[in-house]
Amino acid sequence: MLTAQLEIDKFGRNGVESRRQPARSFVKNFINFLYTAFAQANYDMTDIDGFTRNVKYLPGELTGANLAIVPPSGNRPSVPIECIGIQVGSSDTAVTPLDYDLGERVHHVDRTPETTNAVMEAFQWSKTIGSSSVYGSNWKAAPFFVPWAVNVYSCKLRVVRSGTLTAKGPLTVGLRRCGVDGKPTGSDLISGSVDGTTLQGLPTALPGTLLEVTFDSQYVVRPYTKYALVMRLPNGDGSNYVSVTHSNESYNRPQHKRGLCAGLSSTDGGTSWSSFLNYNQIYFQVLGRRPNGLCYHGTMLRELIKPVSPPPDMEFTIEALFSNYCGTGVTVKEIGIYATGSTDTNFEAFSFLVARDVLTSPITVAANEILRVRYIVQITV
Amino acid sequence: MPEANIKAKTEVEVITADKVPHLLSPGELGSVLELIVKDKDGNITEKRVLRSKSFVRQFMELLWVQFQWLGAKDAVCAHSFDDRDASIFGYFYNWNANAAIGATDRGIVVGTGSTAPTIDDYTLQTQIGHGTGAGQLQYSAVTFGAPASDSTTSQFTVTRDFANSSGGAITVRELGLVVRVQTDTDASSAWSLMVIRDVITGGISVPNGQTLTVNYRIQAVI
Repeated sequence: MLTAQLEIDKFGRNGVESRRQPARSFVKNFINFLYTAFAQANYDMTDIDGFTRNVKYLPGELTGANLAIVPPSGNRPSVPIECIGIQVGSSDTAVTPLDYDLGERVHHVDRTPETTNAVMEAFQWSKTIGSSSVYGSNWKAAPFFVPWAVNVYSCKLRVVRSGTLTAKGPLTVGLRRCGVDGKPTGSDLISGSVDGTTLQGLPTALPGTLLEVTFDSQYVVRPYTKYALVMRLPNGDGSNYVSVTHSNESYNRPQHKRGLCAGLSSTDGGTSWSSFLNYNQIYFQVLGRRPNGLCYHGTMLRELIKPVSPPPDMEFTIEALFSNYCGTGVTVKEIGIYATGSTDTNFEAFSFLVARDVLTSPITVAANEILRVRYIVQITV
Repeated sequence: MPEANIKAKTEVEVITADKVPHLLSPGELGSVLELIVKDKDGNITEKRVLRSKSFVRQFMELLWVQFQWLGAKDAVCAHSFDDRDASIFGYFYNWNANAAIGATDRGIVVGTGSTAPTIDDYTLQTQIGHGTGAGQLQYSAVTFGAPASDSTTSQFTVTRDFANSSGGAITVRELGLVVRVQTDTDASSAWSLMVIRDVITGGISVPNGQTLTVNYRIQAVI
């Protein structure tokens, strides 16, 4: 029988604070991974975004690795390094076999949050610029990944105006998640608007100007997940509209992140989307600040050993360290493990929750303290 | 000797949540072992459901390799089912328990040994061969039941039938689950590792003309 012990130690100015408890934690995704391997069968699994991914048992020699909880060796696509291995969270919602993510994951943050907004992700193009109109049911979307967790406050778009927009506002930009197909899905997570009077002040000629749209509230986006800025001007028409600018290269080659973030166009008010010609991309900036969180130092495996005095008969340790550099105390109530799974889609790897435990008592990691989490995986004959 | 016509049909069963057997405790990852003997008409003559006790060290070694997706340069030495040193590393073929009819080096295997399992077991004590000769059973292909779960337990199932047309009763006393692993960058060099070994107290008799169905239900309980 295989079991695991959970060991949590916090190192700080006041010494070491420890928690010990049996892990009760392997969820159905762990069984799913074993099934794909034992049966050599593809299987639909739910990733940490809640999306169904058809995990391939044999996706190809040079594609991703299934059930890896540390970055896999070799030239294999993986996931952001913070999205593999041991995870920590702040929810104490009871574990169920169908859990696909932590209740509330603590973000990977390696510094104190900025006191003013900074550009956290952008596509800026200094070569040939094109433009594409936004009005009525003609929407545009700029998909993106962030390189680290960002508390999004606003965005900037390089835009131009056509016609008279004083009575055609507002221009609304929503932040949405992207679905399995990489296109916006669901409703706005947050949104912001610019009124017609402001729009009327926009230039009419390229290269246009940077227009900042401040969201009504903030939302933390994470590196694993693909999001999109979705733009619409419902009251606009074919003579009075805003145009977003984009790269305008004529060759059919992705220009940013291998085409995964090509600009998208919808003619039916966001119901369906198609990529810009030649995968050209919309000029955008995402502005915000880092959220509070813990710095994930990565997961390692230690000591595959046979203890001298069984039980257990054999064990190894999965270990990760987390530092608090954000300056604010972070309370950890849950622990989990993410593993990678592979599909044939764009040769991408995805993260899957394979274990989750709720701590019997929370532990708060104050500024500059370090948390060590260990799973001691054991078998006893 | 011609192969006897044993009327045994492998059935792939989708286990619904209300049929997930519960023999493991919270926090355990293991398997429930079901042994079913049927006569030639499909009537069950014996059925046992018990906790499988015995992941052996190769299971841990494979987990170690797969969790890290170790490259061939970092391979771990494991003891193969046929008593060789196998350098195992992260690979998609690992864990493959898919076995064809008659394959005795992969999937569920059976034997007559009764020595208690140990962590270092790498093979069966006395494996029963495939065939219709004296002391032999006919190994079917291995089949799998897709993952299922209820409020506490997730599982999938590995199944194999063993038909007895040897002319006499055979008592199965030990079982193993053997998987394929990759030991070299050459895709043809697949070896086998035993990851589970169980010994059945008192054994289970398979009379001539009857079939033993073995279900390993690999489970995780929260």
